[in-house]
Amino acid sequence: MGDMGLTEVFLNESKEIIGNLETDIVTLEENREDQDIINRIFRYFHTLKGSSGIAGFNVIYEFTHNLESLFDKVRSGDIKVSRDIIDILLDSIDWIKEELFSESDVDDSGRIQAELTERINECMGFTPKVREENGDFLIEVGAYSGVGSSERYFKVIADFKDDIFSNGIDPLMVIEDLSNLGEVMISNVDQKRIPDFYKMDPEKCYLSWEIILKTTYDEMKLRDVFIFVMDDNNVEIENVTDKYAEVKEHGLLTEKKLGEILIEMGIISDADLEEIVKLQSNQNFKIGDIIVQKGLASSKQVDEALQEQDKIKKKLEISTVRVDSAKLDNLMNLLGEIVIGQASLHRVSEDMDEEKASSLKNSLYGLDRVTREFQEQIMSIRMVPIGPTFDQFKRFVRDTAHSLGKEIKLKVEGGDTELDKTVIEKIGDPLKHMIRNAIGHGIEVASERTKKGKPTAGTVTLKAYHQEGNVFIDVIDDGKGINLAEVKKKGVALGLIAEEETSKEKILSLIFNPGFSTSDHVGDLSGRGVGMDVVKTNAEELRGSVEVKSKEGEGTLIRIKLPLTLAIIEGMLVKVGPSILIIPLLSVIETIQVKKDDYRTVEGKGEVILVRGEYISLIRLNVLFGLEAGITNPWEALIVIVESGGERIGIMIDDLIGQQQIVIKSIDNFITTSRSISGATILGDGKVALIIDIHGLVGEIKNI
Amino acid sequence: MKVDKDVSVKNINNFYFALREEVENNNQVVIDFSDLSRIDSAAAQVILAAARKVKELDKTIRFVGVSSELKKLLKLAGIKLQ
Repeated sequence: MGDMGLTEVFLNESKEIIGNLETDIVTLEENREDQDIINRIFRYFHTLKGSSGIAGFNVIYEFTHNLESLFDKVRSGDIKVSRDIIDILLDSIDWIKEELFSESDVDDSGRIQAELTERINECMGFTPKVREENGDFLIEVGAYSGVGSSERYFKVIADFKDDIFSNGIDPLMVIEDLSNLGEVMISNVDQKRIPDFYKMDPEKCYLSWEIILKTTYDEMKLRDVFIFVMDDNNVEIENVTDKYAEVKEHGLLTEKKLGEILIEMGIISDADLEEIVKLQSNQNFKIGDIIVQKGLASSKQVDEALQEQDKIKKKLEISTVRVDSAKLDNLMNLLGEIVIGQASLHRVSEDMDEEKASSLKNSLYGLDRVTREFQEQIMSIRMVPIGPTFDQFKRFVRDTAHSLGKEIKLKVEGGDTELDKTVIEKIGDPLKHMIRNAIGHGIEVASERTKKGKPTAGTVTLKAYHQEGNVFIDVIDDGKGINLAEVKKKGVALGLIAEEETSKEKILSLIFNPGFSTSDHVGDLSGRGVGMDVVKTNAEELRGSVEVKSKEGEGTLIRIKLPLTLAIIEGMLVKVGPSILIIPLLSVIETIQVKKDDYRTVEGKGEVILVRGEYISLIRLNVLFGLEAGITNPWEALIVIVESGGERIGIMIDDLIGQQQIVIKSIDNFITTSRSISGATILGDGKVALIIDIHGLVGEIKNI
Repeated sequence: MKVDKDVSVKNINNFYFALREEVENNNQVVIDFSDLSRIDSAAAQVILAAARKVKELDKTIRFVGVSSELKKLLKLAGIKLQ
């Protein structure tokens, strides 16, 4: 691993840690006593310190060392978490971010650092000394860094010198740091060196440890824990992943474990176990039997221990692999090709004689089932929970609220809702816009809220959930809501709607127009009128949609609807003249035939049909796309009723061909800029068919 | 006996001698941790040695007031709570 690699690894890791830190610190502000969060923050600083030292970022190393010391005091309860501490921590993180990730050289970086350090020291009430880090060649060349980051087992032997206390080092704390890196599977504290109680010198250290640690970190990380004791004390770290797995297979581990579990449960003692193991090697009995036989435990207790053991075994078996997401994309593409291949086989079967065709078709149905399952599996690999994306807004909300002098709580619901990775990446910016709007325009200042009888602190809620093959993300605020009259006035002034328009939905949807803002002055945060159209565009790029609901004085809800998958959809193949087009099945409500009497032409509105007592627009695809027409009379054709954003339209087609999985291939803008086309697909016979974007189609029709 | 809040290697001798007295004079040694949430190696090894001695003398030792954080530390230090 070259120098570059190490830096990159460090920067990537830091980015992740800093993100987590921001979230945790903001959470800490609300739950100041939460020991779990405090411990976690301490560990993050500790890790950041260690890896910055190794990667050669000495300034960061020194700085984070101070932060770690400060937080150690918080952890031990010497310092209480206060607004000051939170501010220092967040400012410090900003400085670290600036140092690590900012391209430009900030002149006053040194000054800021000095100021922050002073503030930290003030909080601690003393000046901590910075320890010098030894440059270790092996560390420098990356001898201990691992490849990938699946779970590993390490055997750690730590034998501390008896005068270690005089150096101010507490071995137990070092071991605790180690245990925080993963799960301690086996821990043996060697007590043989501890002399008789009456003869011991309590100021000398007699302790040594042998630990099996399960962790996702690499050896370097483990060595980092021992960075200050490595030179003077006997510390051995060995990767025993292979051995440990082997032991498991041969069953040795299981027998040994049972004893250990019983010790842990407090049923037998160390000495008992030693005796039993001896007995076992002589007599070849099962440990459980010996224990029961000797009356050390009841068979029920042994059974319980065995159950516990099973649980541990199951835990051991779960392992993970980290894969480049490009590989998953490739897999998805290949699967798409398979689906196309299948469609082509279906096509071939149609030209065959009936008997052969039916057996081929049967096999194809079987294959079809497998590919669907295959697709689901790949999709599930690509799915990641939206929680972390939500969490990263905690800091944003806090800062934005503070800068506007508002009091705002961020509530997150459904953080474990899973979405396609690509969707998550693209949804961050729109979410930020919406939250910014909610804070800037939506939620009132505390005094105004009190007057209205609302709680002083406003609430912004982020909510994610699955429904009918879609994922919904709601951004809800309990602010003043959108002033319909004002939006309408602006809309009329801009010529976007007619004066007599009364539909609340239509008026509200004006806010998604580019450059639309009711704010008279341009603030730093929002009010430039860009933002909501970005939200809309981004959502539509993901084949989703946005809707807004608002009640004046009570709040606003903005709901993004997104498809679960991006690459493959269920499509309905329809025929118009000689062309085949695809309508996404999710948008289809029903397919009907209309009577001649139910068909009307309305001046200024085009053709309409009466469906269940309601007139809806009728679209002729051949007119829209300039195709050769087939059937021209609506009462002779089939009408597919589709819905988008609450609006229904009827699409006139000649015939239904069938339903199949459609692999979406994007088409470039130079081929068509029509919003009514979302892409194309290759059919079984190799022909290309266009996929109709119902959402875009409805939008386009309404604008005409 | 109640363990002092600030027990650490700095004042370990106080703790050591207090515990010695306790072990010598009682058949049942009870160590009360309710005042502290952390413990260092020095205190841990004194307790380990005491526990061994207590067993040798056929006496018992018991720990009370152990917080969950301390529990984890004691476990790491090889101190069994029962």
